[in-house]
Amino acid sequence: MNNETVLKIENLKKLFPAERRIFTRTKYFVHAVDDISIEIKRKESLALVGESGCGKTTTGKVLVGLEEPTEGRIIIEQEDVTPLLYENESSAKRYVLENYVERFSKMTDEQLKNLKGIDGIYAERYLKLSKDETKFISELLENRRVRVWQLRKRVQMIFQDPYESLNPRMTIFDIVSEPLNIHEIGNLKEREDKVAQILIDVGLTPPETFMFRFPHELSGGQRQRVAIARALILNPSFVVADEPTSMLDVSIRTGVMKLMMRLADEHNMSYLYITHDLAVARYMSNSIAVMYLGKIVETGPTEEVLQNPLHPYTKALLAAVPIPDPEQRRGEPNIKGSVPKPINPPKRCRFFDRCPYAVEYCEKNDHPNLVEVLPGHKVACYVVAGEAK
Amino acid sequence: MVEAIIKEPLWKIRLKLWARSFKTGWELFREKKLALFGLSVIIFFAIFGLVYPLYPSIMRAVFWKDDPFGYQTFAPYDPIIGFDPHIMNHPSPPSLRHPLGTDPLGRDILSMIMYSTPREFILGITAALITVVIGTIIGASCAYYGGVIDTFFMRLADIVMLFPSLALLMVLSAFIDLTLFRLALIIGMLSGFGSITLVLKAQALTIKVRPFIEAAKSTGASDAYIIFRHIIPNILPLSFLYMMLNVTGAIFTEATLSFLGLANIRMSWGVIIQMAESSGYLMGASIGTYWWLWLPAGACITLLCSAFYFLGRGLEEIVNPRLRKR
Repeated sequence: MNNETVLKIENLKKLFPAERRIFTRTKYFVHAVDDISIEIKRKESLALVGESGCGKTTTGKVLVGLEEPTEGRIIIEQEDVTPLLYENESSAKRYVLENYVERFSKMTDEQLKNLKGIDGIYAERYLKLSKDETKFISELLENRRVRVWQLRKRVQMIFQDPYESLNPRMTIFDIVSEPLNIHEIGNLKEREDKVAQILIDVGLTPPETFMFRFPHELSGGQRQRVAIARALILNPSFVVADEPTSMLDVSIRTGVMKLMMRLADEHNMSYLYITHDLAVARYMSNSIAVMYLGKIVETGPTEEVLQNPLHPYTKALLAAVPIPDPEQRRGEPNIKGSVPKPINPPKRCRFFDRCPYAVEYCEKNDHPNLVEVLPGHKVACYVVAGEAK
Repeated sequence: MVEAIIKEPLWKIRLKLWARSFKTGWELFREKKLALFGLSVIIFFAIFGLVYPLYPSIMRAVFWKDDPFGYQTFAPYDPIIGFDPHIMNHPSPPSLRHPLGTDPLGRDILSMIMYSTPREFILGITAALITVVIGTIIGASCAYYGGVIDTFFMRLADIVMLFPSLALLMVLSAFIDLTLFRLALIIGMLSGFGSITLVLKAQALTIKVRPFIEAAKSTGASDAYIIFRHIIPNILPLSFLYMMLNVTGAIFTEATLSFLGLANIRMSWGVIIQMAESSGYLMGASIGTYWWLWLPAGACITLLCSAFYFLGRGLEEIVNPRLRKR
């Protein structure tokens, strides 16, 4: 039970058109998220680390349905939810056609039965409908609107800025009970009790003194607690936390982080913790994924990655963390320049321009795949993997 | 489970919150002398209009005790068909019987003005209400949806703004019987699709990009829910302000049309001035001699319009914190 995978992202891509054209196809795309794969187990959390503009937040927004994925598959609790993340029916249909029907129709029955994981589940359904493609598509897209709505209950997001993510014209009660209101759960009395309970949970006690205040009457930490309460009131199985502590004072940061960890335990949920702060990542997460220009360059258990960084970018990030010791001199980070533009990046290692290890091989070949160097510890680097010398 | 924590019913708490925010708003408002002046003028006119039914009976008790026959037959204080048989030459200058004199037909001017007051209020507020409802909903939807809807309504607003609305109303008056309510409807619609949409859309755009909209969206809120629960409450103070400024415009337009004799309105401040003009009392030296025919009604129009305008300006400072002095 504890090892159940809550979220699995496979080869997620998100491209934004960099120009608007009417008659011809768009040529230039911003590769915000480029082919990333992530897996999160129940009650565990994964920290997505990287500098500004590397696509961390976009990944989170795709998960909660604020952005459409361009490519890839997102599986939440053994259900492929990608068709639900598309805004219109036809893109969802195209997704099902491309990802399942076209693949399945080429396979023999034997091959279909041997498929594993999520593919296996869908192949079974495909066989049950005796390979009727139209029926299969309509079954997958059945009640799409309702299912999109139900999916929103299971995935919630906590936003970065507690000063902006609460409507200034609503009371705390209105803000926290809004998800209940949208999903038409319970009557007024039940909602009141539920809101009071969750406010106690997030440490805003006594709840009746907070319920009918406005956001501007609360402090930053209290507001972020309200935002957390709002995200948790529907009992989601999975929460995207987009730098929830970065706008808070250092003195209240740990309080909020401890609260989030306790709630994850109590409510059986997992976090995708988006941050640029390695110390926060270390505190909050079981595993870590370092992102650079839309790609994951290194991933593994948090302690392992931070103790033994392999990718040059992770090393540079760690070297940039200040050490609370005036005696100790810290070395200059050995990477140079700044992040290149993610518009149609050239076919070579994304980190090539700034990499101290770069060799010719890195320029000639496309961005390296993640290779498991140590158990559970994957790196996307030709030099570290030993492929290039 | 927590035992019922909130002892009071929810509506009571909301009422209290509302009262509290009203109180803080009032504290700010009270410092603006001009806005206070506007508010008191509006209150004065409201009372002035409401006590109209008392006016004839008071005058009857004071001046017409000896002549109940004349009062019954000629109804000297009726604003439309009244006539005072005791006075030989109409228009007569202000006297005790007729504090603001009579018009060329022998009607009491004060009673005409009092009778018109509630109608001016109804016209102004109806027109402004229609303007604001249209402007707010269209502005918020344009900002939220963007694209074709946005372009269509913005170009429509450009056209409406460029089009001389008085000329349009003149042409319309040839086709439509412009009664008070119809006039309010047309004025309301004309200004509703005009500049107010632009202003409210601009305001709504600043709300649309705030993260709480995204937060609501990620919870599964529908478009209508976001527009009506998040965007509109945030631009409502501004639309309320524009409502105040629109009352001015509506009253002014009505007065202009009545003065030109194009509206089918039996009595209004504009009609009083039109009466004086059409019977030739505004020409040459007469304008000074027969001042009571046009000055009171004109002053009423100016006063009420400027009162709403000052009130609007005062509210602007409450609504828009950047304009506050401290």
